[in-house]
Amino acid sequence: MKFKRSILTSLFLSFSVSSVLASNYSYEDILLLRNDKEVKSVYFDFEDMKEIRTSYADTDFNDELRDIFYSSVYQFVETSKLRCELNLPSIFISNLESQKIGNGPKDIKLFAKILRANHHIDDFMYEFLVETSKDFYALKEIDAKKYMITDKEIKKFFRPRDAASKAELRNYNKIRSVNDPSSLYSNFKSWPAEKDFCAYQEYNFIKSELVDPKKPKANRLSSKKKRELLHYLNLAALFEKRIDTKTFKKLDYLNNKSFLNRRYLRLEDYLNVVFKAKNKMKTSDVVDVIDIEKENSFTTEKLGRFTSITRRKDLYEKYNETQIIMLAQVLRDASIRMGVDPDFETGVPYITQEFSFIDPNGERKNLVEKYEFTPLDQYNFARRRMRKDILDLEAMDIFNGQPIYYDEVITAAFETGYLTFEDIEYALRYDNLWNPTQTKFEVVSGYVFSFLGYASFFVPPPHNVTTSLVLAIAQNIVNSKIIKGEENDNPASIIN
Amino acid sequence: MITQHRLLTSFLFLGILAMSPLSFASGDEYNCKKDVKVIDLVGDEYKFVDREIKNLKCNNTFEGRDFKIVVGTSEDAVRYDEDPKLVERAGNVYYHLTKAKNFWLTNISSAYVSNLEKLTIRIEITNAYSRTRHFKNKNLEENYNNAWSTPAGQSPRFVKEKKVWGKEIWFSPKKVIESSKEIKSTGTNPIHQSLELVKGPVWEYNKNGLIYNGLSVIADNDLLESSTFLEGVARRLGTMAIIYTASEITKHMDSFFMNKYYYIDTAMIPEIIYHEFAHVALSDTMTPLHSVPVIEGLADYFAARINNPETLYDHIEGLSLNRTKDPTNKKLYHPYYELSFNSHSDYVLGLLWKGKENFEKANAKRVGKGRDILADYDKLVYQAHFHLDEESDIIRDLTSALLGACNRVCSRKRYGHDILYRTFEQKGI
Repeated sequence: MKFKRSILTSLFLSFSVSSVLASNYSYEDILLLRNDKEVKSVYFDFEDMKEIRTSYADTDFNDELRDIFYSSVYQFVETSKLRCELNLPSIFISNLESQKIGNGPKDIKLFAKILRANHHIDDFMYEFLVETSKDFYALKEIDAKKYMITDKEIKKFFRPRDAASKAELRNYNKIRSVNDPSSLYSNFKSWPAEKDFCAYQEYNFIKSELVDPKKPKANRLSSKKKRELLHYLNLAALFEKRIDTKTFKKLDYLNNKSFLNRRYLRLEDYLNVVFKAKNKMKTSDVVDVIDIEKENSFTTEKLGRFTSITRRKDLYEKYNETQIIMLAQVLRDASIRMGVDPDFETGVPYITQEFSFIDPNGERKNLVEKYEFTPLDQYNFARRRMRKDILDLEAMDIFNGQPIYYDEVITAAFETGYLTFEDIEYALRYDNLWNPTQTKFEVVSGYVFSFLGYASFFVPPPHNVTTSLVLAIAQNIVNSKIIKGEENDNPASIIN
Repeated sequence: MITQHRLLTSFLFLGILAMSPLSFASGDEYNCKKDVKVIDLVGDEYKFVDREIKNLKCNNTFEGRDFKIVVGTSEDAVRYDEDPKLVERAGNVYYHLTKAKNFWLTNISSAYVSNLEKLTIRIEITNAYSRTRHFKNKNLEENYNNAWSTPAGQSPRFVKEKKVWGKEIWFSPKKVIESSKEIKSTGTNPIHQSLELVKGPVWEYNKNGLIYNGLSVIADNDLLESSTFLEGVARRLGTMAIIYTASEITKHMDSFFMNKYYYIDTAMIPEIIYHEFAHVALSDTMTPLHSVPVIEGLADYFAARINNPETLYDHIEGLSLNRTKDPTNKKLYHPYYELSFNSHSDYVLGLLWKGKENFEKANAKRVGKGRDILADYDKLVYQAHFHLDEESDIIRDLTSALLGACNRVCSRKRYGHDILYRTFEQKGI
């Protein structure tokens, strides 16, 4: 991928001169933001994407936009704390302005669409960019206005007349009594300098330190509860003049309306996975993706009918970069054992067993039996072993006893680049060994019964009804319980 | 030194020039053609059609650059003016062998086939093959309705009349046999086999029901006087009796599913000719000494690939009432298929054909996405034969050979292996 020299010099190099020596990320890391994983988008269908690409087909402009965005991310990760997430839209918008490209929330949304339609970013980044830019502009608007709170208004709060106001004051006093605004809001003497500690980071800090007067020892509070507690605590900080009115308004916006307070996946966690896990386990057997929209969409399928969460997003929300690598390693180990890994030559496994006995002359004799696996034994063994590896992972502290599903192992292996698009279809079937959809007997009986089922069609009425009934009953009997072990057995492999 | 080298070069050039008339003569030797009537696939049907055979010796016989067709144990090629029935068989065999050889050269790019010497093809031969004498005496063994490929050999040292022979293909004559006299019914018909599948569970179900009824009587003796109870018991016994009787009767019904007569004119059936040539083409590693499932299955596969018929060895009126083979059969693996008497079953063919279908799907998908194909499956199967011999079995050797061949032929090892493993699973391995 080529970057325009002008943008590189004006944006990328200009800000990073001082930080080059201490740079944690390379520009190749930033390129990992390119969408090479999501076939479908939750926000657009293929036709929409195509339409956006057709409407904004200016390659030079698209490349420039991509370069500005990637440079902004680079600037963000190098100069800002990753938890100060609002800095990213801020840097992006400022870079756009410096290049005299667009301005305002509508433009940012359009640019995000163009970036997504051209696969320069994925769904997470698209949503983040659109929503945080809204937050950015909303906070900017608050900043531009003048707010005042008078002593009269404060007095009015502390001398309630109606029942509702009295209840509110009671809540306020209870919450104030167990939380100390002087320490919590110490960094808010003025609006914090966004480079060192940003408002959003401070907001999160307060949120994490909140104490519920009803359950003072509770470790975890619900988001709703936190919002409620923060409302009163912000008021306390305002009344005690620890924060000014603007800061109060901003904190109130962050608390009640901001996207950042609604989402589950943080930018920092997302970037950690992208920079430290994504495509880190690629094999030599790579597949060229010519048109991503034609590829296997397994990881971008929604988890349920009434949710917009895809398998990939679920992986990012549930696991961190280390866990994702560990999940992918399970599949890699299994692949090496079964002999399908392109970078490993695998030998044939065998089992040896030693026996000894005392013969009629009183001498001890030793015997050794060796069984060499067939390819299918090897394949099945690797799959059984993988099941055990998954259970071992579940038992590890790092996974906290969470159940690990095979779908997640596949999604992790795909995310790390170990599996390619075309591998997913077959790798998904590996679990058929411990999670079969049909017993062997059902497979065999299926043919027979389907054949007889068709045959019943030719029987004249009303006997065809009787025949079908008899068949259904017989099939039920056969499939229910009187199945001999041998009928479920696979005679071809010692590992079933 | 340079002068001497030039001299040597010019002598060589002169030598080549001097020999060239001979080479031209040998080239001219095989430039005759012959119009023949052969059986070939037209659409979905086998019909007699006019075809042309090229590269024949210009001596009015079926001897060409690649093949020589002889009758019985003779060494003289069949003449055009011989018995029309013989000429018809010779023409048919020659035409289809040429077609088979072209397939092996063009589609498989087999170096071994391109270096094959001229093959002697024996039609109407009833003798059996002898490893020491070439032909067994007719008194010892007589063959009909059969075809086979024979390895090259020579007579032992102590024999006075030394004889050396190359690889050959033999087609024995057709003989009409009354099936019912030769074959004993063992219940291999589909009705009996379906009943056998249901018999066990139905029998067990009713037997358990009767035991339960017996226990109920112990608890409550009055039940013996209940007509509903007795009717239920009678129904269970009746069901068991019916299923048992039906199973026993259908066991002897094989003849209903067989032709009354059996015959096959092997020299007239294209796929048999392709099959036998495949044995020769694969004989660099798999000597056709005896029939084993893997060897026969591979030969069937390549025979089927030339015309891609829906079924192999179809019935052709007056020429063949042989058992046909279905490449798309759904049989699942059983160690039973490893036994040599099962070498003519279609399990191995079905396994290889399933692999072909899976690879074709994968190739089409890849091409649709702008990639190169995963593998030419025919070449993969051919490559696999280098890892096999006449002792190879299905479960270990054939599967390993296919996986090993994929390492060389597949453009992506993982995808190829995944497809092969899936194929093995689909075929019950």
